Amino acid sequence: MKNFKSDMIKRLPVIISVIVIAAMVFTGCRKDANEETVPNQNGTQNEAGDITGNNGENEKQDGAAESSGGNEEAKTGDNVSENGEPAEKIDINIAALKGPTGIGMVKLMQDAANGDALHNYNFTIAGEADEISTGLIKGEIDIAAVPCNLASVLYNKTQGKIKLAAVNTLGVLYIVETGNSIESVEDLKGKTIYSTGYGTTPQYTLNYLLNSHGIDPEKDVNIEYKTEATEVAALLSESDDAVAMLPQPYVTTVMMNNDKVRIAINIDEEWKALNDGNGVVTGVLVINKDFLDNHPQAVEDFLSEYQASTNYVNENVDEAAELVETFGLFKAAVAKKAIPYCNITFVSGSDMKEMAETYLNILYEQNPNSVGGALPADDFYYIP
Amino acid sequence: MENMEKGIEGKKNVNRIRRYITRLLVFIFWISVWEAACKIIDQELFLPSPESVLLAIIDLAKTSGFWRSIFNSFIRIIIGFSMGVITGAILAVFSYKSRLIYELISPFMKIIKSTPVASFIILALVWISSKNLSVLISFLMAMPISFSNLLYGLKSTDEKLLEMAKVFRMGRWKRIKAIYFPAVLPFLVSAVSVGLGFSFKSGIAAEVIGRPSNSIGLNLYEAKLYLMIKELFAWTAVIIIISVLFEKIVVRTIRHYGSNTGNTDKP
Amino acid sequence: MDIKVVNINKSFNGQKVLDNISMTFKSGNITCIMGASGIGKTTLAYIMMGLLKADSGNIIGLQGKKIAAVFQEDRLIEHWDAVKNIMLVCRRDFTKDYIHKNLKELGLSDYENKPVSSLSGGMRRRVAIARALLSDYDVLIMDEPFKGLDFELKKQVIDYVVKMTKGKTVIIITHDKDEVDLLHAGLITMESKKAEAGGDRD
Repeated sequence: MKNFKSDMIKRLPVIISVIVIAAMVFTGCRKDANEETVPNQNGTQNEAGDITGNNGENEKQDGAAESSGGNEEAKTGDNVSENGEPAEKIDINIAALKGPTGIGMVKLMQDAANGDALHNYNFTIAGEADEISTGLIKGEIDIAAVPCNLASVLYNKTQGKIKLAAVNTLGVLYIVETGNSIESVEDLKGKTIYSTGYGTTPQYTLNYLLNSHGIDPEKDVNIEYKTEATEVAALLSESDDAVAMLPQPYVTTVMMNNDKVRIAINIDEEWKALNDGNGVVTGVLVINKDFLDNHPQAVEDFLSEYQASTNYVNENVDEAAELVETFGLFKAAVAKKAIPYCNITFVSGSDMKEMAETYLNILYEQNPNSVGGALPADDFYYIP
Repeated sequence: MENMEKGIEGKKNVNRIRRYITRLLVFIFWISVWEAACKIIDQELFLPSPESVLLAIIDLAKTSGFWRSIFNSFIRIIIGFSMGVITGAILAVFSYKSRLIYELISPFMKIIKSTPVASFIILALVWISSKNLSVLISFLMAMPISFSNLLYGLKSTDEKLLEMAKVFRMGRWKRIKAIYFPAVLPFLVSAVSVGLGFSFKSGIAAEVIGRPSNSIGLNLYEAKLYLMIKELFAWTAVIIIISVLFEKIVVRTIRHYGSNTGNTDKP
Repeated sequence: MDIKVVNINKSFNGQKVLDNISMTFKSGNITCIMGASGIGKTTLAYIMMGLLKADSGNIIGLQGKKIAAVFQEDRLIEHWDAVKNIMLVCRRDFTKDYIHKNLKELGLSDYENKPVSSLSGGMRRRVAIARALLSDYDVLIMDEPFKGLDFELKKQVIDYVVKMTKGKTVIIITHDKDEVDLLHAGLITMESKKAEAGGDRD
């Protein structure tokens, strides 16, 4: 016992230091995870971090300053534009997913590339939603086209730092098959359906439809979610009575490569029939709240230009298809056929709010986590 | 004599207490590092704090889905793992006896050992349903480890004892009990503890990709999908705890069984 | 039936270890083999035990005979105790009590439940000897079995061995002339790889 005591005494300083440090860390300047932090108030305090944007951790508070050019002036300069004349072009970082939700932007992308746009738009096409989420949280991305449920998740998880600006894509989902057995939703009972989009729009859309027609998605059908549309396409080509759900333009791609594939059900139509003519809200535009607060005029500029781009795309399908290929979204030949079916649109304001709320509600009923745990409050919706 | 024994016992207890205290302090230290890192990063979505993770675990533990998922994943991985250990052991015995079999099997095992888990997962998804993916992957992780460890153990059996057994015409069962099993036991323990860790890790990874319903992997994937980062950490912590606990139990059981057949080294 | 070693030859890696060795062991007797170190005694023992195969030559009289052995190394199951080690190979009709009795005679009562790894060298030897003597055998081959035992102990053990092996054929390799005397054994000396047939001294 003697040895034990003297050993402990020798180690006492170390033990005490560890306990003290631990106590300090736990109690000192405590920021509880559940407390609302109003970023801009602390913004100046944390300004000690790099303005050139190497310190990712502080960026969410300096969001506005973090354009790819590291442009300091942007923070102070552009609020002059209340007169309707933009004082100068500011850098805006915009992201879209590869797929139908990015198509509406292509004209704007071209204008930006030519320097014809109102501001300096930097577009990023992401393969996965994760990149966009991270970028929005960090403040590296200012505006993004994302699935509607992801917008709600981001709003909830960032405590309101993401706002919904517009709906940009409506229903794009179709049930396709290589056989001839599906005429209506009820015919899906007992089938195996291949699909993409686990945990997002396609899954919830399909489940809702199935449930509404008395089919239990867990028990009465076998839905297999694959990661890529190509996997689904491969499965379709292997069998003469395969059934799948795909979004446009992938439906067009598949049908162009496999003439046995036919469209069996237009999911958007079925949805509308159940929802007073309201369609599926597939894609939306979201804005980083800090960016919006700092550059309200720029946001308005962007939205109006974006709307114009959308109109252009819908009215000039051929030219738009070329642009779609130029900017790496899709092959032009596919886009040409698919764009009319992609339901590319621009809905803002209170119409947007109504559509989104209806849609998010349906998702919330299926799985609250899919919208981030709770339905967004009114401040989620950007209605200028 | 008795005083000396009491003295030795006393010292053992002191050592044990010392060990526990050290472990506790180390634990506190690393939790503090985590907490400090949180404050620096200051973004719950990138690094949640220890408290919020703990709370998330408690919240999860209140749901039945939590326990069902743990049970499902656990069962699948344990089945795969056990089959892997047994298969590896059987193949080791055959390889020990027959040079030909060894030459045939050994390259096959080497390939499995060096193939990245992700490759297996992706390939396997093509052939089998996503539900049982983790069984197969756990199996593939455990088998080569069991094989090489047990083969090594068999090869390390004392030749001299085997000669003695031959002269005294000892039966096969006696040979196994007295000579082979004790030689193999430490290697078995090592194979199990290494293999178990691998099986758990890879099995869960397989579940994240295959997403069978009511599995830990699925929960991990959904946590990531819906930006539920606290829950992501919570599930990860749960996996670690289960893996460590189970390994301790299994190793202790093997040692206990080994000692029951008189195979301990303690005087 | 006498055991006859006839013209045994054995080489290892080109090195000749046994060169046309012949000798006879009288049945039912204790015979000792003596000879300089390295002369091949142990090799011959292994051949008789069936652990090695001779290059040429014959051993008559061992066919179908059960052999017990005491090796130069103890070759015990280290983590088992004396009783368990003996029970591993002992005769089916011997009871545990009988084993205890024998171990008592060898002075091992206090140690018979401890793992043999914790016993001294001399004790382990005795366990090895008891194991061999309590097994089911026709021929007993011992390789320097009394090495490491002090004189008093040696006498005790030898008496025990002589008593227990009455009527069995025993072959003992040894370096110690005194042991041969105590055993009242016949002696064969191996010299420069050839053997002189020894007489039987009773």
